[in-house]
Amino acid sequence: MSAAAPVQHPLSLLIKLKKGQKPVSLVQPNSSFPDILHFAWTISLADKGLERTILLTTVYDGDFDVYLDKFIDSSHAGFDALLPLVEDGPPTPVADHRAEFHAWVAKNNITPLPAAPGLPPSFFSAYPSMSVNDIQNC
Amino acid sequence: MPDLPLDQIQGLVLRGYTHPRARHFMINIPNAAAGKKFVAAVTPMITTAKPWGVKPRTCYNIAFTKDGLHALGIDVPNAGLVPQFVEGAIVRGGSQVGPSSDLGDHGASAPTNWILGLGTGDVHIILSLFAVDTEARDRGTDIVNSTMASAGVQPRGHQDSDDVLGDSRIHYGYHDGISQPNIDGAPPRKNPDDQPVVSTGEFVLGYNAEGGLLRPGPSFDPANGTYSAFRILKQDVDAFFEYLNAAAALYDLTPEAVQAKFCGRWADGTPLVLSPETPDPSASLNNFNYIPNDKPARSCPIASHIRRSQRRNEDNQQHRLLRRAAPYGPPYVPKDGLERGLTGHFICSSLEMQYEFIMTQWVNGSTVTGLSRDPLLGAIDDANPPRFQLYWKGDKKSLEGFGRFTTTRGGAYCYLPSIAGLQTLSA
Repeated sequence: MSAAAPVQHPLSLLIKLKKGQKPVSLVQPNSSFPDILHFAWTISLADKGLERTILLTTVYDGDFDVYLDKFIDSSHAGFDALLPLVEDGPPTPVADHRAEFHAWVAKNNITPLPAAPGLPPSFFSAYPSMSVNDIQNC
Repeated sequence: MPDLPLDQIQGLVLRGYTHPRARHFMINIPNAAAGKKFVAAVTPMITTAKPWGVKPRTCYNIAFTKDGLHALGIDVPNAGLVPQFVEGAIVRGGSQVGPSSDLGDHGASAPTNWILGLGTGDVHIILSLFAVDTEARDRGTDIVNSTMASAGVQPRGHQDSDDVLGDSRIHYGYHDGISQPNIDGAPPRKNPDDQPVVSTGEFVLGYNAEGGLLRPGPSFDPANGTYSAFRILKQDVDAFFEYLNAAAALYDLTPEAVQAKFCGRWADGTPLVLSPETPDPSASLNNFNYIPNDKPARSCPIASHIRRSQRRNEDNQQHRLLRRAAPYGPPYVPKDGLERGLTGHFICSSLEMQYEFIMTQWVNGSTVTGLSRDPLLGAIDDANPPRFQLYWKGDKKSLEGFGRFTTTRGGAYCYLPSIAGLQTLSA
């Protein structure tokens, strides 16, 4: 294995929906989605004391800010439909409010705890420099 | 399909010229009056995208750096120009360095080492002359020189290219320029590919881009202009062919197979997806995709140059480039000490989502493969060591031991105005 930099990164996005909205999965298979997503799942935290709140967790490859812009350009309609359902969501149309969208993602992304001395890091991958493509092509 | 005003769009944008001889003049504007006089004088010479009937012996196109627009009196930061252009290639090359976003312009490729004043901010205009032969190029040069002299702008040297290696070859031996985007509304090309038509706004400002969003032009030129990354890329042809031979011996391959795997095509252009073990002159050059047949990348390596820089059906059409580049330097003779490479404009309407995305995320990035950078174009160094995984006749091989083959000798982020934009700039 080369000394390549880690390519995998975690995103844990806490999203509180507006009153009257029911928790829904945000993970939908999409064949046109580029191969940068290792894992994604949505859980509801409603019965854990956080009403109308869902947690979207993903492990993805590369520079998230750059890809966020890519998704704004290509999937703005989907974001424009979802974000008005979110409490304190960023303004739409998202294409005209990119900075607010980036800031909203950053604010609601729960970053992993830092590694403590003597303990493994709280985000662990057995193969941190392998992209989705690399794994698929093994 | 938009009805494009072809007489407003510079010809280089919508049409790949087949003129084999080019000369890119670097020009400095000492004062706005001289600059405006020069732009007014060359505007009627500029080749547009209008059908030409009889192929002209020479074509001219013009591009401005941010320093050039500033010298003409444009308030560059407040003119609706994209941020990457406003910063310029010198600043971007210096700042986009490191594991998460690397344009590759560091070390020997750093802007401080660029030739022809491209690293200084002194290059304001790149005027490109394309000619059918050297005589036409010389005559065109006389016209450009006298126009510069009478307007009072300053020549800063020029970069030639000579597409004379046969079969559109580049010095690394490959047949090049095969895959170019089909642009919605542009005149049909002689050899269209089977890839989806790309929205006009990906290459011409003032139209909708992929996803349906308008990509606006600057305030002084709202439609029909575009951007480019002008590049002078030196190719270490000796090191390249030496490595092909060494790797063939070390890994039980042929030099031709290593060459093909690095690119994703055999030297004659045959795509590996269609013919993985030998060139096939009967194979389509461009009628192929990666999914489903080569999803596991047994034929075309995921790390190969074409698979990581134009992802076909492994991504959408947001990251295409018009490659208007050609070889410079004489036909290859081993160890003659002469410089060779590739130079020209890489045209796109979004430097961020097209040129810079391809360079930082795919060529020098890790999102296509986390194992290594592009073997042909990537900034391979101690921090980013070489490693190239391929499959050959069922065996997996990991090639190592090569260095950076391509270095940057010059770069500029350019704005290519419409004809109306040129008239505004010269007024």
